[in-house]
Amino acid sequence: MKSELLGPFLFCCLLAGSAEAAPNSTPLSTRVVHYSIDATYDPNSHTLDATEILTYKNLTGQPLSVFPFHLYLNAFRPNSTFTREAHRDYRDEEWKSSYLGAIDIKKFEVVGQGDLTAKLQFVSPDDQNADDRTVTQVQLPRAIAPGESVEFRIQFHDKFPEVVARTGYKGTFTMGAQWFPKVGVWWHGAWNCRQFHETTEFFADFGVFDVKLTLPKDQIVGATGVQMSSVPNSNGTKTLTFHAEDVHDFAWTADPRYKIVEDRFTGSAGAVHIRTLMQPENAAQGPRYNAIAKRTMELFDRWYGPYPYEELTIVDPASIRAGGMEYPTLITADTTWYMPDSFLLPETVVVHEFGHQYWYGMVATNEFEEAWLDEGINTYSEIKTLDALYGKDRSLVNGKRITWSDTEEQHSSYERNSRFDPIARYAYQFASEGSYVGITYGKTACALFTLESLIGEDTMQRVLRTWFERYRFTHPTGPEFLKVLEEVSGRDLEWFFNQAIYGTEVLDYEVSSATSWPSNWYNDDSRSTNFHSEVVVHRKGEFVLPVEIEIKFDDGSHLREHWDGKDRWMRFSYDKKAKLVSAEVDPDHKVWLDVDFFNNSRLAEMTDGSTRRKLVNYWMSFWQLMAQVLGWMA
Amino acid sequence: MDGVKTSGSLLLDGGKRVISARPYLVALYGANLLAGWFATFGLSSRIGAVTGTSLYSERLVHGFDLGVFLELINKPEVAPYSQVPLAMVLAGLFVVFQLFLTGGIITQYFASQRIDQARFYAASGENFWKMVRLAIVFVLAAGVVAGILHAIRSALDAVTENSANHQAAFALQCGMLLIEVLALLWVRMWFDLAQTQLVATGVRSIRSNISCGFKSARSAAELYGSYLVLGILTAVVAVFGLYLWWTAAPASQVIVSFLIMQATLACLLVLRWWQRAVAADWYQRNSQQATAIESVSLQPLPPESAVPEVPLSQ
Repeated sequence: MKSELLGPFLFCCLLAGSAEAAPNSTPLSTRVVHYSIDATYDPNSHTLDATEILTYKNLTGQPLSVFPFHLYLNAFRPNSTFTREAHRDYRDEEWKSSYLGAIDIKKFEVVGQGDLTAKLQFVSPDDQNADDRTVTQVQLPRAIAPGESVEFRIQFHDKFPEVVARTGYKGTFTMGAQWFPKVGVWWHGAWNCRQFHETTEFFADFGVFDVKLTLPKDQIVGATGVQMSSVPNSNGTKTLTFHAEDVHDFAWTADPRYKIVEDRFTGSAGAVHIRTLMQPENAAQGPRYNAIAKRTMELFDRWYGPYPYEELTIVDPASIRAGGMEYPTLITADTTWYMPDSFLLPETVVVHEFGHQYWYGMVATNEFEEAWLDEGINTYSEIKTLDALYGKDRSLVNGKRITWSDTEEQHSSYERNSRFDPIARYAYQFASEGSYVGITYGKTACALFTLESLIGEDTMQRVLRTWFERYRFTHPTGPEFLKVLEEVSGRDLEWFFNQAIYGTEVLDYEVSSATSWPSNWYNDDSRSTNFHSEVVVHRKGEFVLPVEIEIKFDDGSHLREHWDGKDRWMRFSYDKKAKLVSAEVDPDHKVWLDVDFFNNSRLAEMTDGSTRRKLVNYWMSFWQLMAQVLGWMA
Repeated sequence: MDGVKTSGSLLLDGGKRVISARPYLVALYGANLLAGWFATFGLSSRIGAVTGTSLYSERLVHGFDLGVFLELINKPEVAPYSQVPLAMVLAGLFVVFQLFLTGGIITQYFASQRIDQARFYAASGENFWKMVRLAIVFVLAAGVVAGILHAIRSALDAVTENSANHQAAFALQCGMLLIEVLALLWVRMWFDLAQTQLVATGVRSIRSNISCGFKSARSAAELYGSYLVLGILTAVVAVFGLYLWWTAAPASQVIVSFLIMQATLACLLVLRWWQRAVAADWYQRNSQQATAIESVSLQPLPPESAVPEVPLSQ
């Protein structure tokens, strides 16, 4: 954890215009890499030229002679794997020449081993697409021994695309993400350096970044880490220096139009400077971003642990395609110039992306292979945060007459895709982007809420806190998450994981019948005041989960039954001096994995039809209006 | 001869003509309501089957939980989109019925007193096919105008696409949309005048009516102003109706919600026919054959030559 004194010290450095880095005396992570990048950006041509010095420390315990590197900007080519996959899901999307992005390595030198530029070769470990250039690798003449460090000196040239996804330019706005050659991760005895896919994000080792960025004076810049200095140059440019420790990526943004809205949060690890860069037309919403960021930071600090960095930069991008992304200490949000207070889109995005500072930024799981561990857990955390701040039924739309909860939205997304893919699938192997989103975000969140119903809310919070405390600044996996779950809850949960995480079983319980009749129904002359009632609960899906059933009677009494769900159906019978009113599976509405909530309950007698009348009224009025609109043409 | 005593105000005199034709407008509203009601037949039972026995549906009664609503309409057994073809057919029938009544109602607009039903239906029937043909040409003309303006808007969108200033781009889009609306309003006025001319003169040639309507519309600034006022009033009524529904109708009170919606829809219908009444009033004021028009309205339709096919001017 960083010293609380580091912030003021860095501030003094900034005032003094010092470019000196301030290394943390106590590293929070195992620092495998040190990137030192000196880059010059031309916003007119959207190009960048840079020299990168990467120092890689071989902590793998074995000699390494092959090194793979991500070259993500090459994803923005018509034949790349990313573009092919995106075209599969968005057939109407046209390819524009401005979408072309590229990163070219001009010179690749290994200190002590010479210029190896000619030895670089593109590889496609995921799909063997020979046209994909998002991963390159080099064979060193001499292997790097365990414990030894190697220094790579790389000169590269970037051509940023008009924003297609996450990175690039739009008007005067630039988002510099996945812009430099980044070494893969030696993980589980092999290099893990996946190609850039439509649905995948990032996976990298922790380390230190020292980045110098030279660009025109009028550019307002935000970046990962702390700005150490800003030095004006004689040619109308300035050079900004940034330093970031214990992070695994570095992103920056520049736009002369940004309006800066600043704030401060003090958590258990000290003060955090919040710097929000707003598009001018959205500037009024800057305080809204900051307010939700602070409230989220407070809850995460309390629930999971401290945010250890001094800086958080929130970027309001000019293009929605660059919005809603997470990078260490820098997130991109999303809004429009008009956004009523009751529509919580900006809040939802900020909560989600800040959550990634924990579930991706610090607990750095492999987003290519187990995306659910960051996106899914983070969606669960996002819902918990929004529910705590706005209420469970109104965490997306908080209107007087109309409400919508984040849980419902995630459930809807999952329900539409529930039968395609298991949660534990490599992100790029999902049937479609819709299935990836519905399962990775929606189903995981619903599964964790269902799990919460089994082990309790407090236990679930302790699970995530333990997960964070134990695995921050490391690369944990799904089995390790299960281990923490079982350890903290003291329960065997493998049966749940096998169905919810590794399987595609659908969970769907229904009350198939709920009826009452007089005990002496055969006697027409004198009907008994005793009633026989029966409720049949049916497990429609293959997912087996113990459930509660609430039975209500017309004398106001009610009782709860427990069913292990193992059989296909279960009958509950009662003889009482009261008639059955209703039966409901999961009366507390906690089993969010259930794909159909309407069949979870049944009334013994039909309702008065209020819902039907209300909806039919809307339908009728709508079509009357449509008829009048058509009539306008007559 | 003027069918209605003039006050000097197109809007007021048009309003008087609307009042004179109120039984037919009530019939038109009735048809609109009936079409809407029939459109609910299939859906009502589908929704009822799901919500009638489920406690979950109560979330839609007290307030409106959008998540629950989306889940409901996504259920295959509800599938409201399957009812759209029926609703479209019923909306089409309403349009046909309105086309049928148009000749009669405009005849009533020209009359100084209530015309009898036989005359009304005779005028309706006599002009029905001509109204249909005019409507077809209107759709084509409006389509061309809308298409051209839409193409311009798309081109502007493409130009502003790279602009990071969303607000300015949005304002430009709104401005273009407003121009489209104003242009289409003018085209509507042109064809309303053509319909009016058709009823007033009985000229069979659609081309001639459209041509005269066009020439008249070119110089009908006052009439266009009235159309604009009534168009704005339509927007105000729609927004106010929605506002009232949103704020005044308790979520669980379906009947209050129904009454507010129906009152709004009735007002929208009347406002549209007020525009036509204003067109009739303007036409009559500017006609050099005003006396002939009344006889046209009350007596069997005159030969085509009775009213000159000359552009009208103020």
